[in-house]
Amino acid sequence: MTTLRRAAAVAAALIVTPALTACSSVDEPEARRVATEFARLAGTDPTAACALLAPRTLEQVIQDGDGDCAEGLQSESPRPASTITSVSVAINGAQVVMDNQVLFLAHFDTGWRVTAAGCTRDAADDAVPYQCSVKGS
Amino acid sequence: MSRRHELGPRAAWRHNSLTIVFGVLLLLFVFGQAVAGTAEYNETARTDGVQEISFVRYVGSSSFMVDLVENWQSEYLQFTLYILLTIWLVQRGSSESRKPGDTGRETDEQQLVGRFARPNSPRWAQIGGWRRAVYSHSLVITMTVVFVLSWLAQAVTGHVAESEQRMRDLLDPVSLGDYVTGPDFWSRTLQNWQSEMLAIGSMAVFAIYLRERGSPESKPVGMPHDVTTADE
Repeated sequence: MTTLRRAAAVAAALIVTPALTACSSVDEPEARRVATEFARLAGTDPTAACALLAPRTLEQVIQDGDGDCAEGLQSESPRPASTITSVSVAINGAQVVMDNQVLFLAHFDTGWRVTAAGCTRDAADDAVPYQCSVKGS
Repeated sequence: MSRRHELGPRAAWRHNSLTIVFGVLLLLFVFGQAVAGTAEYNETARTDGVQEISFVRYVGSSSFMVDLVENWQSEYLQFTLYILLTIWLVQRGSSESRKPGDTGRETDEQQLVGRFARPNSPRWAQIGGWRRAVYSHSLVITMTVVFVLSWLAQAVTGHVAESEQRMRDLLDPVSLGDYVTGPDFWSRTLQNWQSEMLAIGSMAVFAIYLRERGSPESKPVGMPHDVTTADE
């Protein structure tokens, strides 16, 4: 029975450990902070907010602002920071839901960066993506 | 397991070569899966314009784990079902089956338990009570536990991996409850289950007519097709 017990323990450890490590709650505070910071800066200091955009989103916003990110961001009439109702993190992706908008983030070497902001959705079908005023191409 | 009076690598190989080879193959294939999986994950990350990840980070991620354990659970389900169903169900002529009419749990004498146990029988087979009852089903209990844990791990890691992809696509992440009733979970699960049933079912039938000389999984080459077990 020793062998049997040992095999069962090894099997359980191999399977349960990855299942438990699937939870990424340690990243939630940082994703929350970056989303709040972005929403706060987008209306008051768009240049600083641009530094929190993911590369492909930054590219698109610069293009929208005819070469100026701050201009591009302001043209989208960014929504201000509001109360956060939920934060979800999965591997390198995060979603921060505020009262007035939803933000999506991705994790880079430089930390969490906003991939889309000002997102809302009217469709009841959860297979239809959010409409976002700020997003990558 | 190797006998105690024979020690050393050679004895270990002579007595355990099947387990050793499958263990090594498992590690090689898991490594290969991890390498290919990292490349696939990073290819999608580049397409989606997000950060690529390292091999080590990928191996610790739910993306890798869900692909790993979705196969594990189906393998353990397959063998659990096969162990259980072959107690009562038969396939005449198959080396994988018992003889028609000779099914069931068998007598204590046939199973070498209690007073019919041999001096070197496992201790829990010699004694009575709950320990013999548990030991009599320890194989299926263990296989079932691993199956259930693997399937549970598939659900947890699958919902995380699915959520990450959904958030890249500007969709809401999915809850565990919604995930286990949703299409991704059942598509992954059933595509594995059907292939396991195909493999084991076709093996039972192929073993009636086809042979592999020397393999315990095959009847002797000259054994008639309608003879069910090699020991008849």
